[in-house]
Amino acid sequence: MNASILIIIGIFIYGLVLVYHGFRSFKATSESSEAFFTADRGVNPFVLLATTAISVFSALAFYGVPAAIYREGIGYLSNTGGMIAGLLFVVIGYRLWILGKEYGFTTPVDFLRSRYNSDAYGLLVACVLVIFIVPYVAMQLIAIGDAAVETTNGMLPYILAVGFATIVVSLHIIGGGLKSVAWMDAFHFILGAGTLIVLVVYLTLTYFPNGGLAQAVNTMLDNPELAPLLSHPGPNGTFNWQGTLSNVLTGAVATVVWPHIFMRMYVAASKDTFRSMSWSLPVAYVFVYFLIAILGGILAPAILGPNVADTDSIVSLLSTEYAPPILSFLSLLCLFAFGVSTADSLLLSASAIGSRDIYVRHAFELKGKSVEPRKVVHFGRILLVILMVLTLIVVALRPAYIVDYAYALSSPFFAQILPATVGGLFWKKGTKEGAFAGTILGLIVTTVFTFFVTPPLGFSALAWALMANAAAYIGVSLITKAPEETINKYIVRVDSIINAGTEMNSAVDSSLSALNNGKEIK
Amino acid sequence: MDNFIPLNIYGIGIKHPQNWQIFINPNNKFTFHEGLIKIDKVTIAKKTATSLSIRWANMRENVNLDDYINVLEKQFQKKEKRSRHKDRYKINEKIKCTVDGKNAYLLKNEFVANHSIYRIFGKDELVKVLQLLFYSEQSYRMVVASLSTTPEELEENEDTFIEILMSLHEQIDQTAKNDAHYWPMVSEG
Repeated sequence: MNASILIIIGIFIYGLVLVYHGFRSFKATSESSEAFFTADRGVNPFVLLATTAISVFSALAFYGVPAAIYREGIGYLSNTGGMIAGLLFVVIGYRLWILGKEYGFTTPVDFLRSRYNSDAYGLLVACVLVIFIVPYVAMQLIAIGDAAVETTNGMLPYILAVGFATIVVSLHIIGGGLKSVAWMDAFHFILGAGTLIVLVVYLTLTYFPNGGLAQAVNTMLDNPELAPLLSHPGPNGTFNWQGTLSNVLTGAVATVVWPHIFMRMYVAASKDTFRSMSWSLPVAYVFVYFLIAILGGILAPAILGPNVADTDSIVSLLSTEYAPPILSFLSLLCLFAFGVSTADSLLLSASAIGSRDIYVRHAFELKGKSVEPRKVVHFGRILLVILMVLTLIVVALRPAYIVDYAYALSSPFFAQILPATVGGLFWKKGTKEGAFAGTILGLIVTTVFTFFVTPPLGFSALAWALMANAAAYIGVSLITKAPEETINKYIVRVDSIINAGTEMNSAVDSSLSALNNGKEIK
Repeated sequence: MDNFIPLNIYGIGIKHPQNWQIFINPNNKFTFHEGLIKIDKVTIAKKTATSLSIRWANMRENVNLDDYINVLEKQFQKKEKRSRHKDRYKINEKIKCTVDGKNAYLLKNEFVANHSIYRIFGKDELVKVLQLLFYSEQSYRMVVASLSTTPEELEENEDTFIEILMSLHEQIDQTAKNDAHYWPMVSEG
């Protein structure tokens, strides 16, 4: 049978497994929003590591990072500053986790809204996050669709590939919420990392049998067009100190407050999980990143030479033209792993924010009406269907104002909640006015430096936006005053929660549940 | 108890200082049959921080309080084992008493724990816990009030804290009692 047909059959089987896996947990996750959106805050260390690490890497990382290294040189590897996200995950995450357990926070919005005691600020953040999640998700699915077309030599039409991917991803989340997403991400993490290892090993052994990567590097050094790729500041001079610093900051600072990564901080099963995450997340990040970097920085130039016109396609070129069909299929699955894990996590975040922080908050809570937990899940699922339709329209039409412009703003916009989040957790003087001023200024600076003015001094738009955001947040906070009650509740009391309540309450809970189940505790 | 105010949630009452703040997690179960409420003395001075938690849960069968204490002790051992015996939990004193006409226990517990993610960055802290518990045969609920504080604060205010705990009671009218009988006895937790 034709290899393309086998690949198409493989894709459909993969999609069906994904949907089945989601709907297996449908009933269990229908009863409460805690189960649907936070997996009952009981995600174990390995699954949390896998779901966080793989969610950081998008489909565009799998194709885009090797392409960027191929173009700009190994300086791009400074993006592994993202390993700092592991440290931030622990520093910010532990406190957020405690507050989440204590006050029931699920999303970035409910923490920021409560901490700054402002529904208007909550609504601003919610709208920015939800609106800019759609183009980010759409780009993952477009990447999957394009790759499926290329891998099957056009036998699977783009519109069918991308429609199938969108529906499968949406149904997967609608079925089982975070429980399904987290466990499937664990599988995707193993699949993604495993495929990268196989691809790198295969290409190295096949094309450089007399010395492996050392031979590949020598091939590059012998070619004056390729040699600059292995040094700073790279062939185009991109990675001078400013460029390197901007690249480090992009990976290190921004990723931890992406909405789907932020929500991961609420769902850990225990404090010990954060201890494991502090070392395992950087290791996982660097491990996957290095494999991607070897593909783009050594194997692609050494095998393909210096003159690939469409650099974005170097990975698909390597996997389809320079590897057997089974590796092409595995590479496509790897892309699926990266793309689906980011898309499903982001869509779930959008659903949580849209249903809980916008709809339930404004249509029920602020009007003094209560709402049953199962109804919140119902709203979340309806919103996922709406988001699925919106995403389908975007991926089918590929309008430039979304795939080019809105997408370019997504990640830097997500990052604009960072100063308010860090200040909200640790700084007693942080005020609502400061949060408003910082966030709005950050959004404006990002937009201006992305589309209208070249960022000065060689720093990126994100770096300037975060500096402006932090300065405005601190400056305005210093001349305004935060209510004492709010500070007590979200900063002062955290120590008390840690020191007193948690340990004893968990012992009481376990004792009562052991008595009720008639089980002795081992 | 001049500055104390009564609180009554689903028939469980207690008197607490009026300047303490009440905290309820909106995502936790909070019904007649199961719930947790916290009433904290929120203070910037760590040495005087005090937290009172009241936990109630519908029980499948009538509960012998001694059984509860045995299970709690095993839970403590389990926690110590999990921390590789770096954390220590202890019931120092078990005092049988009568509260609201029901048999009750006042436990004086303490634990030493390090709350930092890495022990090296934090220090071991001693926390004193007074715990009052009773089982209501009327509502089939186990009620446990735990008051956690620092050794310094306990030394200064032990009598007041015990007074707060001894004000714990259950007061349910006939309708609530009837409802309780019709509800499934198995806790949803």
